[in-house]
Amino acid sequence: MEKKTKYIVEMIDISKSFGSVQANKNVNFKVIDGEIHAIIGENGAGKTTLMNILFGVLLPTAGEIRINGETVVMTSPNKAIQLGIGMVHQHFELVPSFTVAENICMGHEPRNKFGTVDKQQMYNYVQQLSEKSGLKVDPEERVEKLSVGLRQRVEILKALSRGAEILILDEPTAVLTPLECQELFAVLHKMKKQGKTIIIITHKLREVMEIADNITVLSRGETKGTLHKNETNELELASLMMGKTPNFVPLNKNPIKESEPLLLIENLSVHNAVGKQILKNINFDVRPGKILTIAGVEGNGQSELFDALLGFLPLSSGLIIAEGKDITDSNIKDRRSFCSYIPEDRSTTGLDLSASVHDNLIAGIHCLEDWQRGPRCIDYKKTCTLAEELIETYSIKTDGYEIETNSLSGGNQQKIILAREMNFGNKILICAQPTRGLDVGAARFVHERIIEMKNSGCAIVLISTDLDEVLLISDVIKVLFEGEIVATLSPEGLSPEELGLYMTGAKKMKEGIRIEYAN
Amino acid sequence: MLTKKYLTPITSVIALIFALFVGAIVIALNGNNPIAAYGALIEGSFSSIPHLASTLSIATPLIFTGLGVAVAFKAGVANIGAEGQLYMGGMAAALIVIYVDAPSIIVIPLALLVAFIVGGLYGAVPAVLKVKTNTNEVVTTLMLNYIAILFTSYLVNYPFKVANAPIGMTETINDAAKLPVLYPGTRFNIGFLLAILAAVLIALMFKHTSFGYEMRIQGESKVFGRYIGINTDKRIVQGMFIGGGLAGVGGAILVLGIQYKFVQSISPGYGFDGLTIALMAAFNAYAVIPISVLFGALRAGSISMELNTGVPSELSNVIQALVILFMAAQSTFTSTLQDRISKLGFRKEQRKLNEKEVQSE
Ligand SMILES: Nc1ncnc2c1ncn2[C@@H]1O[C@H](COP(=O)(O)OP(=O)(O)OP(=O)(O)O)[C@@H](O)[C@H]1O
Ligand SMILES: [Mg+2]
Repeated sequence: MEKKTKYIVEMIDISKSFGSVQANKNVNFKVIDGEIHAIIGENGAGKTTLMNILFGVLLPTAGEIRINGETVVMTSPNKAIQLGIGMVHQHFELVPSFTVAENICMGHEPRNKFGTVDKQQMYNYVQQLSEKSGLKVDPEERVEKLSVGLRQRVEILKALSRGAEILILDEPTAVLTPLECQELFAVLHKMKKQGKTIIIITHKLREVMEIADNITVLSRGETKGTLHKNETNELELASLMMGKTPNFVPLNKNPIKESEPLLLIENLSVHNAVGKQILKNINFDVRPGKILTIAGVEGNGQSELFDALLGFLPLSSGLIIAEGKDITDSNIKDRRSFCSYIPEDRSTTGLDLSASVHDNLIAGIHCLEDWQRGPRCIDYKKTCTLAEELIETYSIKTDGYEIETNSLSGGNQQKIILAREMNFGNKILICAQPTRGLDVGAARFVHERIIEMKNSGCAIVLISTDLDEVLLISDVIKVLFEGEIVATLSPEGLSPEELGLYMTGAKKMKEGIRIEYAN
Repeated sequence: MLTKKYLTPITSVIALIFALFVGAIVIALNGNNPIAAYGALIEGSFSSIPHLASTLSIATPLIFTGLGVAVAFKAGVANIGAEGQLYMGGMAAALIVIYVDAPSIIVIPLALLVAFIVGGLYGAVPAVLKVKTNTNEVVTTLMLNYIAILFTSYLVNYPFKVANAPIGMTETINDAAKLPVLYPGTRFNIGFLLAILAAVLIALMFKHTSFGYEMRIQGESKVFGRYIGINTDKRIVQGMFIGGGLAGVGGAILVLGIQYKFVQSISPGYGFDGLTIALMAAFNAYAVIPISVLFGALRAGSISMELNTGVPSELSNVIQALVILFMAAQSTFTSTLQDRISKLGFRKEQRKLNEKEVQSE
């Protein structure tokens, strides 16, 4: 039939079930040698599962895999690596205390004549590999000191060092800033020119159109077809993915009467453990019905700002006032009775992955009297009903609330955090990267929920690196650069390019940096 | 360390079977008949009511130490110090009953309560060190064992030594302070019922109370616990207090129910057994009970095994060590094994598919 195109990967009638959940149903997936192939689909559609099958992490319940036309049984990642497949997972798998080079060469370190690791050769090798691929890293730096974007480079280099010809990237752009994204895409193009095949999972349709040659759409575990970039558009892809034409009415923002700020931050400064100043004199206030966005490239103090607002990091100076009360010295539990917090890293700070979905959903209300009965016992009847409701409203795809959170897809794990935090009914919401890893529909739903909270008079602080999101829902944008607020902008008439300039420090607002508080 | 993921009832059973098997080889290599030896072991532990009673009376302190370790681990603290906590609790109980002359109804609960508090405080010390100074609790709890053993040994050899005793011990306790016996003629006592009650209470605490919820959530993931507002330091110390307290009560039951005095080196390693038991039970309070009974049987039966077949009773220690070894080995092994099994299934599927294709062609 279609023998002319040479397929490097063919996955034929792949099915995979986990107990009663069928993650893949007769999926057909073919990749042409030397192309960039995107896989898209809603959260829980089975994208990660399919790629885990290709990489030998999971065994399919049924189906056949062909690499270069030959049928193979992919029994382990080792087998996949031998066949020239490399994979960068949604959650990185690096040893933080090891250097970049040690991580990349782990398991196949160059040896000297005594049989011990030849460090010099290892560093040289990684240096060369890094130059050849265009993925710049410092081989001798420890991984724990690297930003997420750099860690991802290390992961890609790790795959390349094992001779990967087919590279699978599971949502690589979810954790990247727009600039890092462009760098990554440049590298991918370069690799394509070198003859490598790339499979990339992403939720951002704009990226798909930018980088992919062919696009396979998965929906509820089934293939909805493979399309060539030139023969389709974002809208068609979205409707294939969701099974209906997306009808996004413009977000309905209601203006709220001006009133006193719900959240007031004054002169906030934070130093890290070794005395370096991470945040310098941050000032802002958020009034009811307003969304204030902290934009910036990752690593410029956003995580520290979040932790400082939560009470996880001690302030070196400054005031935090919520609903008129000084909470600067309050503990996390007390702060959470005013503010809801959505942290950026779902796998460590947002969830306990080994606990059940229920236990994650009730974190925070477990200690409130309304949810207790008898001698400080959790009222399970009530909390289970709540869990069911939240799973329903936030369409969390799970096999029930008693299941271990680990087994949910990435996007559905994220929804648990959103459901939990947005359900508290607090007047202040502080969220970091709330839509990271969510599909188009779910991201839209979250934006609607945030706007709904805004319309009902909540004050919202959004920490985001996603320019589209920033421009879509903010009322005020504050740009954080090297721990300082360097610009205060209005989203109206602001172009992504200009915002980008501020974020990278190429442009600063005069009053932004001149504000100096004598103390 | 053994993580929760790999600790399942199946792992424990597999480990036990392997351990018994290797134990059998050891017996055979020593020129004995393993079947006869194991037969004598079972006979000595379950064959009659008195035998069963002695099995259960050994199981009693084991349930307490097993629970003590399990609670601490659930709270995220690796408690290797149950042995020391047992000694301190036992000593405290002995001193109470020696110096407080009161009817049973008062003196027994009082002694148990004091044992709980003393054992608990002794467990809380390494927990406080952990949260305040970030000291590794494995090291501190381990060292505190020796301090407790030697300290109590000093007490019964000098200040509280009873005259003319061959080894250090306190005087025998009053009848009023002895735990009521459940089966006449043995020392099987109500301590066993208390142990079961304790297991039920601990299980209920973790399952139903918000205190227990906080304790286990922060035990699984400390950062997450702090992010959602749990005072993790407090929960860690409380977890170790409860854990140490339970081990301390185990010591009290040895004194009030078995020995009727505090003797130096009163425990033949019940605290360390508790560690094995808790690991095998995957820190589940209910599972601690049957596993403790099994270990009680091993200890009770090994004595009659030695008498009848000449196989040294230390074999029970060998088997325990092997159980731990196999459990640890399985943490890497089970996943491979499961992999193999599912691969076998997969190959079969593939073959069936191939056959179908051939047929349809
Ligand atoms: N180990 C597992 N045990 C049970 N169910 C699982 C397991 N892994 C995945 N699933 C289920 O399989 C389905 C597909 O999951 P998968 O991770 O492939 O989704 P995905 O398309 O990658 O989604 P996302 O965009 O959210 O990452 C989900 O419903 C998920 O709950
Ligand atoms: Mg996924």
